[in-house]
Amino acid sequence: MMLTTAALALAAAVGLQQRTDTTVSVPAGARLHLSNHAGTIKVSSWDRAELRVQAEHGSRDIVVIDVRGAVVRVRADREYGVPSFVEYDITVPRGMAVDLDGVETEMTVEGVGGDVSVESVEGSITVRGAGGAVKLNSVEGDIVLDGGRGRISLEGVDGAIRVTGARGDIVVETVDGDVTLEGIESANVDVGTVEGTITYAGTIQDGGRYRLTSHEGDVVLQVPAGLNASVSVATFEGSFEADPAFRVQLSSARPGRRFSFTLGTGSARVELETFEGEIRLQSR
Amino acid sequence: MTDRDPWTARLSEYVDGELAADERVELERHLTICGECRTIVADLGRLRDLAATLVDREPDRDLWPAINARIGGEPRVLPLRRRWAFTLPQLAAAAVLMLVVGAGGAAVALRGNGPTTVAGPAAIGPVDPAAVPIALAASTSFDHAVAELEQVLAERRDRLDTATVRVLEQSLRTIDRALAQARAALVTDPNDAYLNAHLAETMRRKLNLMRRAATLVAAS
Amino acid sequence: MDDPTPAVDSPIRAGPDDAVDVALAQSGDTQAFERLYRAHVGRVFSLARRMMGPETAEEATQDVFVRAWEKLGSFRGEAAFGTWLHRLAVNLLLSQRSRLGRDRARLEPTDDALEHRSGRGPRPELVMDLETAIGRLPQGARQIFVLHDVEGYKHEEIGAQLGIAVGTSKAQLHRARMLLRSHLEPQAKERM
Repeated sequence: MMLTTAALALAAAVGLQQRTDTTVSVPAGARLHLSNHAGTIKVSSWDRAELRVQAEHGSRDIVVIDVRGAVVRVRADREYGVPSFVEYDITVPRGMAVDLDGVETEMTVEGVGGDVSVESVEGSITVRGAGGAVKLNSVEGDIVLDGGRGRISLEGVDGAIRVTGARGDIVVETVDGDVTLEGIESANVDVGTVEGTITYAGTIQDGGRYRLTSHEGDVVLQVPAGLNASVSVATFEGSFEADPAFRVQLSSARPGRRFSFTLGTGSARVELETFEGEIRLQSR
Repeated sequence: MTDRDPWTARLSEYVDGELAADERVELERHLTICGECRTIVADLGRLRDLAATLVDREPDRDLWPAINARIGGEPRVLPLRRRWAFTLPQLAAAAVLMLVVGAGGAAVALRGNGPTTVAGPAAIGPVDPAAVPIALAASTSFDHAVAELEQVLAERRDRLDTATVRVLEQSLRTIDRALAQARAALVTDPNDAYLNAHLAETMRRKLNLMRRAATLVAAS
Repeated sequence: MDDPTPAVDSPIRAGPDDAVDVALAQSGDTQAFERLYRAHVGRVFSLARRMMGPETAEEATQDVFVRAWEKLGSFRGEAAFGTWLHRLAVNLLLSQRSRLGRDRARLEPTDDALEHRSGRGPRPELVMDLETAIGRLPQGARQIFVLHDVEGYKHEEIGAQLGIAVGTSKAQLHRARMLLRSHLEPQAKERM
């Protein structure tokens, strides 16, 4: 069913820019590992049990595809030094799991059904139509996720993070960057940023737990007015305001630094914290 | 101990208040005529109260060294699990307190007067507690760890792309600002639960960021 | 077990000290974890001793803290650290077989000691303290007694944790209490 070990090395012909185009069979349940130093990576999917690697690279670089059991490793090698700029365009079987690793690389993954894991130092990460668990990690660069099922973990340092249409447990952490979550179906959301605004526009499920914390940024919750939640708010120098539609009952006209209130049955737990930003509860 | 009396088996439930109302009424009627059951009920109640007052005590010997030996080599799953292979002699040569977290990231090792106390060549070994200064309070050990990591990064920042260095430094400054503000707030209100938790969370963020930076340096 | 209400007013440290140490330990600071160990070892060890017996309590306590270190990443501060640690300890201790070392005298209904006692005065070695008596209960009854009467869990929680029916849990608790009762108050036995 699978090759025990097969390394297909594609020799580079003479020329400044080289183009590689190779397709290999991959077993069901296989996982792609792609490591790149500089360049771009684009991964999309199709309904074949094959993996196609198209790459534009320098003439001294060799693209190596190594199929070993259920793992397909793709990388560029050169005899001396680090491979130059490589642009990958990879098509994988729809259910494949994908694991990308880049230093200065922009990465895009579309329509992949398996788990997706992407690490980048400098470069944006865009994942669309993800069908499985997602783990994205970037130092500098925006992170955009549309889709995702199961465990979703996004960690950035400097860059905006935007998530739409995800279903599952969500953890997002960044230092400098706004975080926006829209159309999420989750019972477990934990978002933290130091300097950046957090916006959550979605449903609050009964029994769920939602924690949005920032230091300098605002925390904005855009949710239907009929939700059931025990809401706790904490801030040091910030402020809180809620749409009248929520009919928030506070025990005093000017609540202290930390207070809580109940909406509906109080089923979900919502924690909104910012050291000096604004906390806003908006109805939609 | 015989159970000829069918009520005997239900007496614990009665003592715990778990009988249905009608059963309780019936049992209480039975208790008026059964001295044995009354005695048992009294004994069970006393026993239950006694159980609730048991005192905790610590083990005779200190278990920490054994625990420490086991967790020293324990890998913790971290986001950057690929880039963990520090070359310890290299980093130890900087004579620093490093933040090292098992095979998945970094570990804590203190270089004392002699060679590094971390065992094994280029291995992440357990920390020798005797080599670590004892009198460090939580905040001080955090500041210490951070200061030494900063030194490591300063010495090796040329390995990283300048853009990456700039980003990391900028984000570190953002966190430092947040830390300073949180600490200042705590001076005015040291017991506030939110402020304490917020400071701890921000400290964790800073260490997390420095650890990620250190692993980037090691991998480059 | 979702949120156990401890029967004992135990000194679970939930102050700011724990929060900072937990944060540091989560980042790999073993010194911080040592401070957490020192703050909570009494509680964990006592639980281990009662559930597993004195010979294996130390080893079981170590296992609990090692597991807590491994799982620290999943602690997000929803409960006090002590509560989280306690839950983890109960789960771990229950999943380990009780290794009592040698064959101890069991407080079974056919206990020799009981038969020898009939007609004579109370024997000194039978008047034992509650901790020792707990240690001599049969494993199932002992675990349920410790969880219910010492630690304050409810039968529903115990049933879910051990995979037994609530009725079974109640029956085992009653059995444990009756066995303990007979060995703590031998005079009561003679009245019967």
